Amino acid sequence: MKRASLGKYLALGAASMVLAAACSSSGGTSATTAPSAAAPSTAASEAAPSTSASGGSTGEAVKIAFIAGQIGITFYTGVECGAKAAAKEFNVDLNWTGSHNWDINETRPLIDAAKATNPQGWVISPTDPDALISDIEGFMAAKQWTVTIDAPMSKPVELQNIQSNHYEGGKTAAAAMLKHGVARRFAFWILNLPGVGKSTTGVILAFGAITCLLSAFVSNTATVAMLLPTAIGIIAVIGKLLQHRGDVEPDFDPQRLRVGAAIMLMLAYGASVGGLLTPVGSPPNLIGRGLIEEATGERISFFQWMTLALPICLLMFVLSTVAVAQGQPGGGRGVVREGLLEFLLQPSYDRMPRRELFAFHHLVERFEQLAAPRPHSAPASWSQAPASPAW
Amino acid sequence: MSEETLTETPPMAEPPTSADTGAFARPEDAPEGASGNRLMRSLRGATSIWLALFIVALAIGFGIASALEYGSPVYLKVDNLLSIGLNAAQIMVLAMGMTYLIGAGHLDLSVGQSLILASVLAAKVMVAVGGTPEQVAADQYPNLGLAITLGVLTAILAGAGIGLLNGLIVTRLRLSSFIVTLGTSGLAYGIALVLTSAANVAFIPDQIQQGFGGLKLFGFMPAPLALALVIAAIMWWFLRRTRFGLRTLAIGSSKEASIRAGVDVNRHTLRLFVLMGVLVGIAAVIDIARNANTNVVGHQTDSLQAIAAVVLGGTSLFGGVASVGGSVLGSLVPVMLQNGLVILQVEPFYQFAVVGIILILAVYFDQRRRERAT
Repeated sequence: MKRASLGKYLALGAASMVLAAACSSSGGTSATTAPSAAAPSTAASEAAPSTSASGGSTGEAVKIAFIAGQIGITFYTGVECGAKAAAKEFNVDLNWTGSHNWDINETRPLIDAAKATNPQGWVISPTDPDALISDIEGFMAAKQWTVTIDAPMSKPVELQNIQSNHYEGGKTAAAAMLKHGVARRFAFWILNLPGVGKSTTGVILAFGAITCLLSAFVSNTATVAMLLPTAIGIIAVIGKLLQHRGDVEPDFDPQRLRVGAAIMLMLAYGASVGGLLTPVGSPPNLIGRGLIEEATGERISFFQWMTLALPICLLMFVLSTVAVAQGQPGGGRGVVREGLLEFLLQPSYDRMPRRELFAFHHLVERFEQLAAPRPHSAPASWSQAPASPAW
Repeated sequence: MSEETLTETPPMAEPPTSADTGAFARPEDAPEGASGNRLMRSLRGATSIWLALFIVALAIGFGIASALEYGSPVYLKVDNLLSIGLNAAQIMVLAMGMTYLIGAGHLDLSVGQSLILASVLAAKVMVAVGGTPEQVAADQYPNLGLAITLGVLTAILAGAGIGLLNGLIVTRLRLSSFIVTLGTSGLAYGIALVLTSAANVAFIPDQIQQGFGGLKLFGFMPAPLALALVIAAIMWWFLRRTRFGLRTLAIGSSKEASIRAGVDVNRHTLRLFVLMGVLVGIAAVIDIARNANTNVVGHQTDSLQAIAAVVLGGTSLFGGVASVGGSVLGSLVPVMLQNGLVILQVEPFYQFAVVGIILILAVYFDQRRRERAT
């Protein structure tokens, strides 16, 4: 789902970029400055005026050949939908084709065939980083502006290379999860785990553990982006339960729950802690491992890394749980020995938002762009929720 | 074992059908049933002729269709037709060996994976001989000539080695070549992946791409296509004009009869597999030269494509009838179809289906035509 919906943006971005290049008489200078897939709508809107200008004068559709890398998989179906939508929008005569496998020997005949049609622009999935260099150099020399997508070339001979933005992908997936209620389902599932629903601490623990595990294999940012709707879902569910039991006013805002801040904190902490667990958990691990291997000549295997990281992760997880669960009503006190961390942090969520400040900083780091409220994510204002007057 | 012995030895057992025996024999050394032989010979030739006509019709059809779409018959541009040949070159080379093997009643399903292994070994040799790791990483190859020579030799030897292994298992252990080569394909692929950790070999000299893979002889003829056509000519000559070709078809027609005629069937089969291996090595060189890279994730359907080309060309899957010319044309058909469909902007999913349907129809009509002829 993530790749698929992203694919559309990717194609849209790519198509509009080629278009911008094909239409601009200055030789693609405007296209090189066009934004990447991260902001496809901007790219499209920038490209649009140039299209209508040149399209209006000539009335001819711009011919673009699209050689996809692996048609038949969801990702490229998404790319296809996006490319065709963009083609319609910008009056492009799009020749969409692609190889069945990610195989340069399947891609070549397609490129050669499309060559005969003399397109004005190309979008190519380079199924080999080296093999297509001379071809693309030829296209560029012939002013058939070429954009590569989904994989890089070994030399930057093309106009622009566009690849998936996993952060945006995670965001899109998160928005979709929230919109279609998957998040709520997942939240119910977590709350339903044996022992979890009995106390807020249980919820925090379970949620933190899941965040950790996911983050161990997925990038930290993507994990947060994916689990954020679930977290909001959990808070909403707890709020509803409280309303149902009559513990709070009917118009009670679930975002004012103390446990809400704790779950959000757990999300941030858990993602960072879990990211350490495996070499692939976050990029610094791989870089660090590479440096260590280079310096010492020792190879660190996946499991060696994990055995090393597991105790550290466990310790950090326990500490962060203690820190977060501290100050929770009810269950929180059962876990945390009273006064253990008194010197560290004061459990006053309402008045002195020190931890929130820290958490907000932490989250802002991860969600530079997510803070803006989205129309379809109802509780999107969560980031402003904790003690907003204080800042 | 001489030709005379083959023709003079009275058949101890009745060959399966007169048509099959006629297929491998030539008029000058097969006095008995000469008229049937001539008929079969002409018919065998006719398959290639029909295929050639089909290809011309296909080209004209796509030419007209592309002219309607683009205002000029872009499909029939010389560049486009030659690029079709160039893209068919690898399968063409493989189909040559496959023609012999299928003609002799065997199959080789390992060609694609052997090709990967051969190209990986060749690439490793090229990079290792080309210069020190620092030099090759900086695009400098002090021993370029030697590196490429040794690389090409490695590819051919590696291919021949796998062919030898296939042949030895088939002849010594008496297993079906279908299963044996299925097994060795896994073996070759596994070794290639172990050697490379599934990553392509880096720093293969670009010069091989400029000097051969992307080279156009006389300014228009792609060098790999020229090589494939030269190989095809040699293979055609061997099949039609030498004892080697005769025995190949004799074995495919009736193994029993060949043994009784004194042909060392095992040794000949072994040679055929090694020949296939050598051609795999050559195809591997073409692969490296075209891409300036190995392609360890590709080539999964090479053997099936080669078999399809061979069968389309009129070679019998049951052995005994083989046509090199037909295989050359057969290897062009799928590429021509795909090329035309891309130019006509047919949805790619339909393209797969169309190629498949036309393959079946072509073989069906050929078979019907032959049945009617006999």
